[in-house]
Amino acid sequence: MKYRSRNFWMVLFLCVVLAFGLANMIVNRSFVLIPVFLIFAIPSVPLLYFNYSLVRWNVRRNANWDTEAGADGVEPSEFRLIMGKVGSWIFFAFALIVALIQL
Amino acid sequence: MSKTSDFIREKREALGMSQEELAEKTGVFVSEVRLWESGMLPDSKHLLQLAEALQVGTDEILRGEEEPSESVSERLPRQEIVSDGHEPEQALSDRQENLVKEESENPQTEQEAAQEDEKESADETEKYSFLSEQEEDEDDFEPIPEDFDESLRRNGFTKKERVLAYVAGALFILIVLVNLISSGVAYLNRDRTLAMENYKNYIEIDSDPVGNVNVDTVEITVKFKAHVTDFDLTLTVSFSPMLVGNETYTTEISFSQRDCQKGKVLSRQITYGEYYEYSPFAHIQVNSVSGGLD
Repeated sequence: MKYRSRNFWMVLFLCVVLAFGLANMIVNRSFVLIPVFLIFAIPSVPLLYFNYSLVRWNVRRNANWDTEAGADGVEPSEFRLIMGKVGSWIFFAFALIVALIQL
Repeated sequence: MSKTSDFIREKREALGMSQEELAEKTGVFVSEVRLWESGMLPDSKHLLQLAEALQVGTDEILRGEEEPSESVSERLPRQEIVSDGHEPEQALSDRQENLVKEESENPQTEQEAAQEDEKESADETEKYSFLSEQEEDEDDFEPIPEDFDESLRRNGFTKKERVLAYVAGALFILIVLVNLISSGVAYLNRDRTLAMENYKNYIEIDSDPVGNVNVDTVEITVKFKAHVTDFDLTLTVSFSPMLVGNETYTTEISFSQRDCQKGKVLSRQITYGEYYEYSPFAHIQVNSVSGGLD
């Protein structure tokens, strides 16, 4: 079996969790909420995985915009990285909550 | 395309390296190498590794061209040799002689020399005073905390996140599985026929007076909450006396329909006489009900 990293299994697990949520909505006939679920579910996993790149991109974009010297070598702070993660997890959790709502 | 990108490509090709090999040596993704070769300047944190991999200097990469093989310091003595026609040692001794000559021509006491040195150092301190201010500013930056999780500084998930996500995800899957199983069991044990015990779940029987004043007619309606086939219903409807008499007005009505979709409404009107004789509020009793459910 080909070696897969822990992150790969984590992403796969999150996708499986979301698939269960979607199945639950279909069984409960909550078709109206499926678009809401998808809005939160689809971006949440890439947001979680690429948190560092996205936060760094954002920080550098701001630094390039605000300073003359540019942003070569600028690294995001711990606070920004954690906030990025927290925001993404809230996105993911909201998708799961929507999946459990029964109309 | 910039000079740097051309220089990186040329150097890589000259060393017989592929983009993948260079990426591996530099510790970046191949896409990053492609970006460098298409015009983007390498990030400063990769510059040293890149210079090492390409066997060139970092300044050469930034300039986008090779540095001349001889440095200025190397060139200077040779020029002297060429101009003077002497050996290097001899040229140096000539210079020393000149310095001694200059000193003898302009005699200076030790005190004066010390004063001059002090003045120069004071000027230098003033000149570069902004550097010390800059250092003070740098001290204002918060140091990285000791418990900082370094895995946050790369894409993917931290160990804590993974544990939390596996626990929360497993809990969610458990809830969904319980829900799915209970839904499945309920579907398998669903009612197949309409009976006296369960008809309230599938049909709704109601009575409404027809008109607003001097009402003498009431409409009995049956609304379907599910698809019912071969529907058959018998009701006894009674009205209590209002002003005169003691007897109630009782009548029996029946509904019969082969196929009733969800949301369909069946209705029947009952006229019980003069408006003052009976109350318009009907008492409904179901005698029998039958039908097939999906």
